[in-house]
Amino acid sequence: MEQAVPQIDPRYLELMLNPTNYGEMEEFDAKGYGKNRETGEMVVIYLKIDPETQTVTDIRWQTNGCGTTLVSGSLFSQEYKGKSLESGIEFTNAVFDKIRENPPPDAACGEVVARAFMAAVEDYEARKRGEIGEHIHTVTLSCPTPEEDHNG
Amino acid sequence: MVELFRKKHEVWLKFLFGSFALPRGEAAEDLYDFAQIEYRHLKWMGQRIVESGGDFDWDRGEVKIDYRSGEELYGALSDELMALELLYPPEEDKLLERMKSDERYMLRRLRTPLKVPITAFDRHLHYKNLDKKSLDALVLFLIEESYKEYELIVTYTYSQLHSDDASISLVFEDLIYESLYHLKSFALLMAKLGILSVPRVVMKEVYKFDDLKKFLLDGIEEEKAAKEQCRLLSEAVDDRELSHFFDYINSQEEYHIELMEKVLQRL
Repeated sequence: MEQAVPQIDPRYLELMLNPTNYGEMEEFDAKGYGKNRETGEMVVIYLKIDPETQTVTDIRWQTNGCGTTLVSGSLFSQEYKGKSLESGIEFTNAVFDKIRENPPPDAACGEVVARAFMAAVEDYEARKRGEIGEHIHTVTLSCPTPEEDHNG
Repeated sequence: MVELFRKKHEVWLKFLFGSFALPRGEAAEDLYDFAQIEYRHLKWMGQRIVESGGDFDWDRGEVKIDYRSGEELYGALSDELMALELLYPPEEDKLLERMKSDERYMLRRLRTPLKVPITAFDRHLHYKNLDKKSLDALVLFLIEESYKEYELIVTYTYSQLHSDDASISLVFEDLIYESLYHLKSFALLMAKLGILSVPRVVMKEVYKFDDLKKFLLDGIEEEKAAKEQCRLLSEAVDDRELSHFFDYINSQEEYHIELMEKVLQRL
């Protein structure tokens, strides 16, 4: 009998097992949090930014979230790296528009990463003014619990 | 001491996941026992750091263990132990001597050649005759929950070592045992599917919390979500043995809620 193979995209499986750009950054220029207050899911993004070109030269991120968040964080972090902050913001706004077309759990998991990036940009601007503090943006889309998902 | 702690954290995981990667038998049991010893070392070191007014963290480098044979794995573990020995401070100290003595013995045991192939990392993704839907559900569950159990082990350990209340500390101890068992169960299934992997680093914001009550209330909600995941998976997988296994894990999660509520009552 032929063995079945899962439908999970092998690239996404790899990102869940070994997420790209994952980890903490000790010396960063900006740090932002994305949080989902319903589920407790959290993403932190660290940015290293070239002050001359305003380009993201390095990015690291961490999460306590699910597989979809791991895939979103890996793909988004690859996208942000090398981009100017302005392009990063444009990309994020496009994500916010596009993301609503996804199923609710995927949408919320993608949003939490994008919110963390916007919080990091806010943190960068605040640091330039000499203000140090935590910058947290919360998700607006809902991530159903397994029970709601099952019933719904 | 903090640098030594971080390196030993990596060594603990390398032994633990090395044991899960090997075919079941004496070699796997030895590595699992050594991993448990390394975990105890971490607890003793963590306790000493906290008692001296300092603090430790669960930071570490990426732990890669995708070896294709027992020989490769043993070679890598031996290299880790030899590198670790260089990090020990030179002073005479009972704890340091105990840890070094344990690791010298481990190193000796690793000299015995282990000629077995390892398939735990080859992404073959076959398990029994599960259909695609069951495999998808199982793979996602195992990736998410193996991380979650590791997150719980480090969080409960950190909380236990910062707790002054003996009853609360005992509850954390029980929850650590439970999560170690769940992690082992899930990792062994991952190895059978060829997707075994050391979980990612846990962010400090998760285990260094200010509000124990909120942590426990959130933890109870997470346990309820995990129970539901187990129930759904038990229904989704077309395999009676796996269904029973997930019902059994589901039942254990119920008692975790009871244990956390016990701590809540003491606050």
